[in-house]
Amino acid sequence: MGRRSYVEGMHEFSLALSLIEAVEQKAKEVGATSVVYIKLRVGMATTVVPEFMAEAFEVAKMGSLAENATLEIELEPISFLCWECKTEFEGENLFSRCPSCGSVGGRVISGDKLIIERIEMEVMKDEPAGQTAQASPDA
Amino acid sequence: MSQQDRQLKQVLMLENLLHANELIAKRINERLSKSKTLLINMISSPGSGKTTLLEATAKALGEEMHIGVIVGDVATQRDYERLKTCDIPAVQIVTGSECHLEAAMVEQALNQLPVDELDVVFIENVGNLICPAEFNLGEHFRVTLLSVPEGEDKVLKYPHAFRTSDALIVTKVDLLKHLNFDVGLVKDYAKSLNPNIHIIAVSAFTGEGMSEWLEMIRMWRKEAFK
Repeated sequence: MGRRSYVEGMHEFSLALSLIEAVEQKAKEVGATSVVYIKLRVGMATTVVPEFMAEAFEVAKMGSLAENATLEIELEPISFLCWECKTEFEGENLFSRCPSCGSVGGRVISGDKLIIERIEMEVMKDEPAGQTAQASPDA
Repeated sequence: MSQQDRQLKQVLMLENLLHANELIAKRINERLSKSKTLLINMISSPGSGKTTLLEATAKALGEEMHIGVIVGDVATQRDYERLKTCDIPAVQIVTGSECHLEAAMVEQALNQLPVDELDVVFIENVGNLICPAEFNLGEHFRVTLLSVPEGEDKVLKYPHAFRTSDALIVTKVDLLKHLNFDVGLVKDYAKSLNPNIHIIAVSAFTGEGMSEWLEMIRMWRKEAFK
């Protein structure tokens, strides 16, 4: 089984495709020629395995504007509000214990999402003075 | 175009990666709320009894409600064929390599169902306890099934589906007399992830717990469209 078919069987692959789609859309909005860097925040309460995401990204980016982009993945701890004593605390898995009362878990406040934090793109240099510069849609 | 003509531009995006899926899910939810069609997303590992529970549900509620089913599988139409014999409209999604259903697939499938005439549509997600948990399908309620032979620890190993579900159906409880499975332990694990989760022990084979499950569907219909 080749690398491609092995990667496509993971849900990280469809997430990587969504990532490329979102990033390409942004690149087109600002008229970028390529995307060179993507920072993705992966919440620890998601089902995403960072290593698989990195692998899937390498396949998903082929032929896209992000073909030469590097992906940086930052793991985001889970923020809980304790079910029992309402203390806010952080943990690395969904069965983390509240440091105040010792009970397991809590309402997840953050760390349950996949957030595209920022991207870096190559754009054409501004036109020299005297010529009309194209308006940037996000200006 | 030479390298000197280009410059780097940084953009802060702070965008949910699943934004596009969420938009479609919202559209599905609004559409079905309008026609008062309850959408229930059913998640579990392969072989935990989704199709059997749906067959029993369709038989029991057939007189009372118009039911439709969307079935997701990586390959084959076997579940679809089984549900078809229950005389309910069903649509099969064969996902190929995909391990889960996404909102766009469900939206397409809904176009093949007489949605306006249906009271409940069940989505039988691809048999997988991990990936489907990440994808909102626009459902009003989410149900995760755990069968007795799988063992209690699956809640600990794969917590995501349980955390995001409105109900946990422990299936095949007729096997409790043969196997070492502690329903109380499963309740404790699931409640620590999600204190509001409804937990029902069911055997579609003997009928145990079925009335509780059916009653919940009736209650959800009232709750979703009040």
